[in-house]
Amino acid sequence: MGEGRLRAEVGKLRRRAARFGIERMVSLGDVLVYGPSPNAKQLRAINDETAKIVSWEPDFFFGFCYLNPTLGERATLAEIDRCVGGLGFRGIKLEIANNARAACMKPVMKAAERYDVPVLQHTWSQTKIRLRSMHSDPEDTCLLARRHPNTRVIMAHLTGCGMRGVLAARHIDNLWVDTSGGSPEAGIVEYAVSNLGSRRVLYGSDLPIRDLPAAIGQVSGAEISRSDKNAIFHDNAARLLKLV
Amino acid sequence: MTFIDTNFWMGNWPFASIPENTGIENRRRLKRIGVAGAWVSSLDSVFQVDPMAGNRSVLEAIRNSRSILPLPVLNPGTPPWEDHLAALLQEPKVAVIRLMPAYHGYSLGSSSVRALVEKAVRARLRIVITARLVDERHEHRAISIKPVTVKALAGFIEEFPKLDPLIQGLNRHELEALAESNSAFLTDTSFAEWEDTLAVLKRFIPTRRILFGSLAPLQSLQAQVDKVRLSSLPALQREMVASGNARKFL
Repeated sequence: MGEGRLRAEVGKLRRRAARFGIERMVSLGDVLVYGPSPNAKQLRAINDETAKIVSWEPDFFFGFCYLNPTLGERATLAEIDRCVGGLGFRGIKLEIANNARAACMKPVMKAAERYDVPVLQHTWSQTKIRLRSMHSDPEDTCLLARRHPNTRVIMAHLTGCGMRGVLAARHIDNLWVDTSGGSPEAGIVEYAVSNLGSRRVLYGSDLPIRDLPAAIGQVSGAEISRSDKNAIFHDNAARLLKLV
Repeated sequence: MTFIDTNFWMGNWPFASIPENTGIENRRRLKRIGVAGAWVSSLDSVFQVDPMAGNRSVLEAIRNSRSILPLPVLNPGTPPWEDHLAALLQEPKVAVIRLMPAYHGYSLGSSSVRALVEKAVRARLRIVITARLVDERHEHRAISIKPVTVKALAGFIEEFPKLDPLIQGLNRHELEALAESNSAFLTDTSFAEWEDTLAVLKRFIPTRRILFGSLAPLQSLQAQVDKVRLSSLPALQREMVASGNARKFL
């Protein structure tokens, strides 16, 4: 998004995050900088930038490998091998190149299973967006998780998925939802915990397009138990990313 | 840090359950999070044809509170708005009124809005305009409400250059665009967001023109408070946004 790519900006972000108790952060790359469907060269540039940021602060950042599955199986697997196998990225990030139901997702999911890394899929309840071929509704991401029960899927944007997304995500053991998304809607964290259990909710900020204290405050201010908050802020991600 | 919430609501919302949204419970909720005062509107005034039922419930709920003020909703798109305004002017606590053109289906350029603003100015009432209450991308399927556009707001500000309305519910990009066209407005923090929101907003809106507004209980009060409390701006500027600017607005 044009911010946070200089070393000084990254250092400033890290210091501010540390002030609020953030110990580790997943870096996803500037995924829309070339539009919704980057070519292979552009994809490599985005992932190289992520690798650079991780190299600046290796004790703080993890990288996720951004992919455009519509580029085909060969290109997709090559980028996964380069980033996850070679650079040590801890997960895969998917945005709006295609719907999560699309056939081109199969090699991505198989590779994620092979490398044992989670897949973070951008998801939004699109009652007012008519771009279903690109965007993934909660039901699309949930179907992706059901089709690939051995791959861990993170459905991004709890506030974007809303209650509809929480209901769709019930009874899918390999699916997590993160708390990032739109404005800090009241009650949605509580609703997710009551329907999914706190073990399947992850803290997410969507920096830099959202406010960090607000992202944290949405969880810390939720009327759930302290142990549920600890699970959301730390324990679940630590398990998912195999930090413990 | 003292907070005055200029965008707080009570009443019923048709698309989600809001537990214990009564006057007393709201006072407890605000106090627990450190919000000392609030301007309160009724969600019942949003979708009911007659906004006065909601306004009356707010007036009743806060009658014994010195720190919570009513922010009644008027609908200049319905004929008895002049009667409604006259009734509100009898209430000593009413110093601000809220317009919600996106929800009540009128244009900010309409003759009834012009007449209402003129009467409000004569009565020394301040004007709040709600641009949006929810993110329109994931609204309920049954309805389609578009937020008030930057163009419409710019036209309104131009028509009433000395009014200095408080415009609530704009996002960061909308605020930037509006500030480029005309700076004679104030805004709130309810929908404006970017990492370190206040520091970003300050690039195009003076801090003295930003008021704390949470949009609670639709949005998380704690998250909205922390957005201001934990901003990187100096303490004095955060205090202005948290409460000082709201006091000056009145």
